[in-house]
Formats: sequence, structure tokens, C-alpha cells
Amino acid sequence: MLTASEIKLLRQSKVEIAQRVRELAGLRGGPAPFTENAIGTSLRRTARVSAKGDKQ
Amino acid sequence: MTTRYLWDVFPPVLIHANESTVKQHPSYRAAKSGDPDAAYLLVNALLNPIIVGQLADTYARQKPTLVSAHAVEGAGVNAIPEALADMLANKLGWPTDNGIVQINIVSHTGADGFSRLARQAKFDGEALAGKPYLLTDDFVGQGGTLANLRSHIMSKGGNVLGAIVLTGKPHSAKIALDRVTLQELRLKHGQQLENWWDQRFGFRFDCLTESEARYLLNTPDVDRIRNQIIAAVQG
Repeated sequence: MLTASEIKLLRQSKVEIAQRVRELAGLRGGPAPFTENAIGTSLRRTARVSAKGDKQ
Repeated sequence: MTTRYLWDVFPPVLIHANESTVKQHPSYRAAKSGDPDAAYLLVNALLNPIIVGQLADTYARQKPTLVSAHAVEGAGVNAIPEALADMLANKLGWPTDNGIVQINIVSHTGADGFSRLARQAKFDGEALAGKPYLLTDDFVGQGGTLANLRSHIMSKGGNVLGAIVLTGKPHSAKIALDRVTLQELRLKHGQQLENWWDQRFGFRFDCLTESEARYLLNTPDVDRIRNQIIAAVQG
């Protein structure tokens, strides 16, 4: 299972992907908000660590 | 343990593109590992306008909320389900969910059927009671992830109308369990296995998807099912 802070990051990434996709689809402008380095790197690390240990 | 609800009327999953087209797309890998720009390029290239039109015709009155199976996978956050939800929302003028996420890592990509059955996706996040929802994911295989996302939303009182994926095998589109398949499964493998299944997973055979049930039905005997599930859990 993900930790509470990892779940929070995952929710944040959901919102940020949505914002970026909508920008690209032309709904609204502004800079790309998705902080892939911060969120993506953290969750990728989680994925590697949890992949073997997260079995039910 | 997983909460699963019985299947009543649930339409076949709508599949936008064939598997090889999706997996060979230059943006696929980056999209699968969290790049929203790549996910946009992938979904924008492969969204099927006939399906978009079908959705508009079928659900215009309800304007369902599109909710993605947003999850961490082996390579990071999979951006495709959310990009699919957002692109459809953009085209159809429907709302999207921003709080429901998968809270475990199941490593389903490339896994065999028993591993998929053994490692059930779990979700967290609020849904609105009485509101209509449509699910999005990048892929439908056995349909277990969509079944669990549907059940999570139903547990909050939401009404799940259907599911849309970017790709999947055509025979996986029917995820609602057929009554005949259920009868065949129970006849072949018996009450004892179903009780074991219920104790292990928290739901009985009548909550399996059609593909999950067929996978078990095609397995020769009960011992093999139990051993393979236990082996997959121990990984």
C-alpha cells in the first residue's frame, strides 16, 4: 500500500496531469504545472520499492 | 480484501485503438511513465471519433463524471488514464474527478492472469452519491481494475454507467459476468474453491469479470488455481 504522503502526491499528479492536458488541448494557457521531477521521481522510487513488497 | 459489487447491466468497455498501434506509438512509453505531454500526444492521436460520438449520443443527458484509474506503476505514474479522461471531458464538456486514486501497486503490466487475479487494485477517494460516472483506463485485460474502481465508486453511492479504455483486446470488452459462465465455473470448480476465494479476496465468483471467470474456467483444476494464486502473491 502507498503511504499517506505518497497518496497525496499521486492525487496531486492527477490534478497536474489534468491541468497540463487541458492546456495542451487548448482549453486554457499558462505554464506547464506538472512537476515531473518532484512528483514523478518520488513515485517512481516508491514503485520500485513497493513492486515486490506490495503483494496481498 | 476487496469490495466487489454484483454485475447488473454494464455495457461492453469502449476501446479506442488496437493494442499494437498504442504500444508502438512513439509517446507510449513516456506517457506510461508519467509524462503528461506524451500522454496528450498519444491520446490525441488515437482517440476514436466514432466512440466519442457514441458517448455523446448515449450520455449527453447525464453528463457523467469521467474518473481515471490513476495509479503508480513500475515506471512511475501512468498518465494515460487521466489524459484519456481529460481529452474526453474536453471534447464532450463533461466533468472529471480529481480525487480518486489507486492506493496500491499491483504490477499488472505484462503480468500473467494469476498475478493479475492475485494482486487486486484498491482505490481511495470520494464519489458523490447518486451521481453518474464513467471510468477510464489505458488498457482492459481481465477487467479487474475497472471492476474494483466501479465497486469503489458504488460503495460511495455513485452510479457507474460504463468504462472507456485506450486499448485492449476485443474479447476483453465484455466485463460483466455472464450467468452461463458463472454456472459453468461453479459446476467445474465447486463450492469449496468459491469459499476459499471469498475468504482470500472478499468477494464470491458472481462478482468476477467475464474474463477473470473464463481464466479460472480454463484452468484444469482447483489445486492449480490455489497454488498459482498463492505463488503469485508470494511473487
